[in-house]
Amino acid sequence: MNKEMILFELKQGMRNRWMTMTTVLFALLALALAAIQQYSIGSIEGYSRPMASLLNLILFVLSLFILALGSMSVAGEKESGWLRLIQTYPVRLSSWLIAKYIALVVSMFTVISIGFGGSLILTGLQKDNGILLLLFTLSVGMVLIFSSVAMLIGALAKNRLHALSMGLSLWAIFLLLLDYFLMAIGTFLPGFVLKNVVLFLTFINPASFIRTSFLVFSGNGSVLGPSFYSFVTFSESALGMLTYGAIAVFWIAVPLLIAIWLLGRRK
Amino acid sequence: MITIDKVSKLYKGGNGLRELSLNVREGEILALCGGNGAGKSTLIQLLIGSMEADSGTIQKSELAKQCAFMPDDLEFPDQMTGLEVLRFLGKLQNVSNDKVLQLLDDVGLANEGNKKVRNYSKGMKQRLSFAQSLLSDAPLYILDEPTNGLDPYWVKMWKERIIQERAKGRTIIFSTHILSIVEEIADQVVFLHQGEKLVSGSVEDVIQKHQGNSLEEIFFNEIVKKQM
Repeated sequence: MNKEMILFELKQGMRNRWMTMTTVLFALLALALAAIQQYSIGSIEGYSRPMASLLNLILFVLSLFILALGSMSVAGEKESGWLRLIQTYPVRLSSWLIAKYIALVVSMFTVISIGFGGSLILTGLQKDNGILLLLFTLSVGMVLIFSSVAMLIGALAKNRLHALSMGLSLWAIFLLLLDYFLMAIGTFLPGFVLKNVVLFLTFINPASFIRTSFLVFSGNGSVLGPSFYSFVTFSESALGMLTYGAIAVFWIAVPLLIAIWLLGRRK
Repeated sequence: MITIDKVSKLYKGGNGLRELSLNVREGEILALCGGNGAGKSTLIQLLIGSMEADSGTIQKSELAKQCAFMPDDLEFPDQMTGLEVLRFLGKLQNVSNDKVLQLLDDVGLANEGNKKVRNYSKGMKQRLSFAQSLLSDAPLYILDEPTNGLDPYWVKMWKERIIQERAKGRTIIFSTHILSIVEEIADQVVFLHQGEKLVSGSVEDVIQKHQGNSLEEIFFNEIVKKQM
């Protein structure tokens, strides 16, 4: 691990106008949702419509920015010749990519910390901020997973524009199309088949994975319906939590490893 | 120092290199010349190891494995200042801060070091790129069109620096379209055309053998011959 590379990438990230815009936008939206929850319900404890909105905000807005910024950062350095130059220095390609990954994660961690910090201040640090803390933890998990996917997209893309279009397409698949697909097949598939398809899609789609994790670990697994009772019970068990952890590690490690392999191939 | 034996690298459109053989001796300046698409940049990519040849071999001595590279049309991270970029690249090679500052001064950017690279002109970026190639004191420099965008003053400064580096025993391979520079500083010249070696040898030998007044004239005549 090269500390200099991480610091250099971090500096670049922090000076990026898009990163500033992401921070402001995310903080404003998170504050607005926390304010709505506070003034309409009088508390930010427990699961509610504004909390679900905050979850959706994290899933839709943050994932989009991570995929776009992360993938364009990798593809941009391939396009600009900077990566080719770095490769002539005594630096491992994996160190360069991991430095980019860490810098993106830290930048996004800063974005969500500002957003959640503001919400906590606004709601006056109540006795039980458990749900907000869970949401924060899952946001960190989401940042770790989507940043890794962004590195892979950057490694696959030919240039910045290609990376952006690939990032947007994948975002649409993860956040919209897979859900629409599920709704469409739900009209004709028998219940037990549909349930297995839902479970399968939950684990191959990081957005669904985060959403389901939030429902299960916030104690609101019941909203999934009675047919998911055994799944929720399993998820809440020690083995279930271990499985969730393993899936998260898979989603973080595998895209990064593939990206390193792809970038290391000589033309 | 480097032996290139029948190296081919072809792209889909047919451009690239065809069965190129070449010897690069230690301590000499070798100029790679040719029109656009002649194969100069492909050869440089093969030499720095960012590309693999379809066939043929490139043998490098231990010294040649430590090379400094100056890419053509490099875009630096534009949120950073020139000094930050050079300091970062220096740290990757354990180069002292004093040397970084000295190099920045050598390329005339001492007063512009705290400006963001995105505000640099083409010539300033090119000088910064040259400065980074000098960071490591590598025995071999590979420079892709190093004088692109430089004004006459900095072209002269660049030539002087290259001659100084050769005097220190360094080997320099550079590509260029400006043949007058080749005549002034290069020991060996290679003309490439459509991926093939058209002419090669020491600058004096090439001028004598091809009975031309200048490399420009020889290059022009050889291209015309090839096209007939």
